[in-house]
Amino acid sequence: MSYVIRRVLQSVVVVFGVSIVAFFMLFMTGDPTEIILGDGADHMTVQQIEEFRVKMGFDRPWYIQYASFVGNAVRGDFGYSFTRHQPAFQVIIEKMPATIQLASIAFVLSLLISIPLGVLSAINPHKPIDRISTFVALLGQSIPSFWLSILLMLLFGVKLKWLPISGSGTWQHLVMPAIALAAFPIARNMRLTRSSMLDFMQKDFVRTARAKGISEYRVVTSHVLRNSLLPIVTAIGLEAGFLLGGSVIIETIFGWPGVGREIVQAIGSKDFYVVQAGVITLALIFAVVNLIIDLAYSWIDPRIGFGS
Amino acid sequence: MIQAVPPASMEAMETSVSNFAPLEGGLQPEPALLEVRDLTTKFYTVDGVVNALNGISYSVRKGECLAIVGESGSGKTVGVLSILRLIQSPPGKIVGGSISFKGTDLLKLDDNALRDIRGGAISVIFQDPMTSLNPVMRVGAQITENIMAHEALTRRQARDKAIEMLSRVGIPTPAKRVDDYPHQFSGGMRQRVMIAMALSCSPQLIIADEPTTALDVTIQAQIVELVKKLQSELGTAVIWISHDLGVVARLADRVAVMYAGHIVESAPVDELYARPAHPYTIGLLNSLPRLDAKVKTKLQAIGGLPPNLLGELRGCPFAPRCAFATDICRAQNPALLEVTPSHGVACWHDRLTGGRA
Amino acid sequence: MSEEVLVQVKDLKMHFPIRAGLFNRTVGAVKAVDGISFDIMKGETLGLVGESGCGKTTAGRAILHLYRPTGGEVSFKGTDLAKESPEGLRRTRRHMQMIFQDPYASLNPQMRVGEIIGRPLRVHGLVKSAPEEKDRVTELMQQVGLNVSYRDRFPHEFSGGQRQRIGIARALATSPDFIVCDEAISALDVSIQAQIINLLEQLRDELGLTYLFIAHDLSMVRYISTRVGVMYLGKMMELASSDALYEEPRHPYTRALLSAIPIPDPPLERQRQRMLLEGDLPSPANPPKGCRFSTRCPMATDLCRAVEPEFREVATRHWAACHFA
Repeated sequence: MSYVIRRVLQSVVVVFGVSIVAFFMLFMTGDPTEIILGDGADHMTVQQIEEFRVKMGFDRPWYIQYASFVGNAVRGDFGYSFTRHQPAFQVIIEKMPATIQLASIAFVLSLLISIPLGVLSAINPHKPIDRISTFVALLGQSIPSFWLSILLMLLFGVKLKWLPISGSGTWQHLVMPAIALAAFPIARNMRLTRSSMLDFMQKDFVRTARAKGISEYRVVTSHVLRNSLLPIVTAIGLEAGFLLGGSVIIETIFGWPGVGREIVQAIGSKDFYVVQAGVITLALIFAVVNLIIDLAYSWIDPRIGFGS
Repeated sequence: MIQAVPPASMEAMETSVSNFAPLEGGLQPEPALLEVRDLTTKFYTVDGVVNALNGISYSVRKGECLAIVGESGSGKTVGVLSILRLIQSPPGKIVGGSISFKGTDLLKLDDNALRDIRGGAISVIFQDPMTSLNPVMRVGAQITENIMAHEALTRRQARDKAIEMLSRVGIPTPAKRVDDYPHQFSGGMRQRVMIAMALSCSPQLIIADEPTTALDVTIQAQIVELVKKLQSELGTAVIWISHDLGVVARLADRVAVMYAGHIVESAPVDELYARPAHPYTIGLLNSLPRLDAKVKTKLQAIGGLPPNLLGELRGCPFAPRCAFATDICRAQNPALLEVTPSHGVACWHDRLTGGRA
Repeated sequence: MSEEVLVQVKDLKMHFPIRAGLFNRTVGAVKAVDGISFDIMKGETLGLVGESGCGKTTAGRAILHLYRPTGGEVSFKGTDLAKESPEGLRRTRRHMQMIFQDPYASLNPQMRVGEIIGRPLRVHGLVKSAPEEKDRVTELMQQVGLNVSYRDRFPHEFSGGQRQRIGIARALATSPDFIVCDEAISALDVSIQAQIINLLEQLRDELGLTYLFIAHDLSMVRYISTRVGVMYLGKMMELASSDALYEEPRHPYTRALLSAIPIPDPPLERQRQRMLLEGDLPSPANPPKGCRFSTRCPMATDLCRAVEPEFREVATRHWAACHFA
């Protein structure tokens, strides 16, 4: 049980760290008062600017500001978005379903393709299936996702006109962003599955399994694959972060109305409260997913006990 | 001294033992359970071909314990894992010979038929109990898997049988331990689990590949006594691979000594220790200190190193380290021949008869 | 063997903390070595035997102060190593060397043999010039039976036995008085073991070395050692001259250990009675109360389970920790 508590505490520390970064982001870019007021400051008197500064609390020492920032944040109050004219947190929450939809489809897609391909490669090393999937994986890992996105748009959207280029609403809108987002995890997980499988196939206990006279299918599934999943599960935990982070670019390119695009727009309009709310919410989701994966890990691998 | 060389011509005996009569010496009328003839296994590596096993022949009778002794790289493990085609392939490949088990050539079986033998009539106990069990599978499941591959039992019945086997190999509270994972057992207990698994389908032959090497001496003694007891109760034949001449003395009925992928000497256990004939066997016995030696006699080390098995070897593989080597030794590899009944030696100048050269 | 004490070990303890819980608190300790005392005489070979987890390897390292002991005292030629300054300890180490079990893992794979052997000479300032170092390395290589022309080869080009010779040459470089051989032959094949053992004996006689020979092979330990100590769960169970220990063992654990070793003599083996120990080694983090061997000892009584026996001299120069020895 103490393992669970320790992992939860670690996650809290991570989110706390992200909150510090998100908070000081506002200061690192200059005087927050002027950033928020932007061009509007030109039309204000010095006194009006000072009044605004006091009203926003930017005149207080940084640690007091930070304390009140954290205090408000835990209650879901990240300030008021002056471009959307609603609470910043609400802006993010409203965009969340779209992001989660895209990320989870990409996630499922990546697992459904990468693990079977990795297994097939590993049990047929240096055969055509292995060579083809290794080549595809190489492409998937080396092509930047924004470039892949543009290629997909040109091919399926502009030339073949099979799929809508951007926006949301139908399942067709999801196809290209999901593929673009999943390409890298597919490639990486496939290679990971393959190498992990090949590694475990050399293990003594696999030889023991063969010596028992069980079918080769059983040897591969219940002995090799089951053990190979351990490193893959760890990678999947990190993938959640990648999918959430990667969605910033993909959502922007495909005009997908999610948190990522919202953050990019908010940066453009210097709507810092929305940026902070978005970053911290994504960090929180990332930490929770990782926590779940870690607990799942100790469930798959009996050697990692909750007790010890 | 009796010259026990059969009247075959020297040319025919060169490196092959195919013409050579088995070593049973007519002691038992029963046919051998396992008859290995000219087994040759090579490893095709990036550096070249490793001649791991160069045509070995031996037989195992029902219920007997044959020990195969040798140092690392002698081919003793490759020799027995080849029986069930368990060597890693690629790079390993069995390139010649026959393995007759109760009249069937195991090398000619298809995969399905071979799987019926593996874990059924012939089972294996591996060297390192720490790595030979699947770490993420309960030991009970690992045993029942073996049982259900060979016997028409329900999961429930197979589990009961697994518990019975665990109790038989001396694991306390087997009904509880059956659901534990390997890491919850000590090394000795894990090896007992391996033995329980190997015995679960009443095999006629058990291949034990250095099963006590990774264990402490007091645990080794427990395992050796357990195998001895089970063997006499069940009448199972055992091939026991070892580098420990002490354990072999305790356990074996017959011993085959391997060097550089060849069997260089083969004899009943008492005969081998009392009247070793091959210079390598003699060297091995003289290089061991004895626990009960009251007077210290200097250890007779064998000088030099075992040969590199990469590429073809000419002559007797032991010749470069042998004090008795002559020109013929360096030119031709002697065949394994009986020098006295049931005592085979592959040496031109064996120390029992004075040699054939 | 002289009567001059070279190394004195008094109540040596080496505990490793076990950390657990939320804040990595220390919740206990693996008492790898838990209070052992003995002297090593100049010129002798003291064998240290026991099963895995008995603390023999830790003891060897703690004696050389490769670990800082948790308690107790080690003196080398009358100087307490714990009181030495880091610089003083470094200088004393010149006289105390170690040969490791795995000759491959303990040799830097990127260094040539000549550099490996020559390095301690430079570190301790024992040679003044490159030619002098070269001469000394040549001498050392000849001493351990290595072909001098192999000076520029790398460790991976050698067999296990030759690598162990490199390890020995490196240990000899600083002209030490005392060498801890930690399972120095365990990883080698039988026919090679004898070569290394003969070399170690020859060097001992030529150079007047003193060995602490740590091994689990009791036959080999009897062969090379003048005296032998038997460890179990961090404690010394018995210590006596080789002949006394093997012919008249006083501690039931020693007797069990000896009876477990098979002798390469089939007719004799068939007659020998085994004294089989029940069960496994208890955890060194949680050793049994009273005598540590009481959980597996066929002779154990209530006294053994309650009171830890003293390590006492049961016969002249023969110590044992058993109420019934």
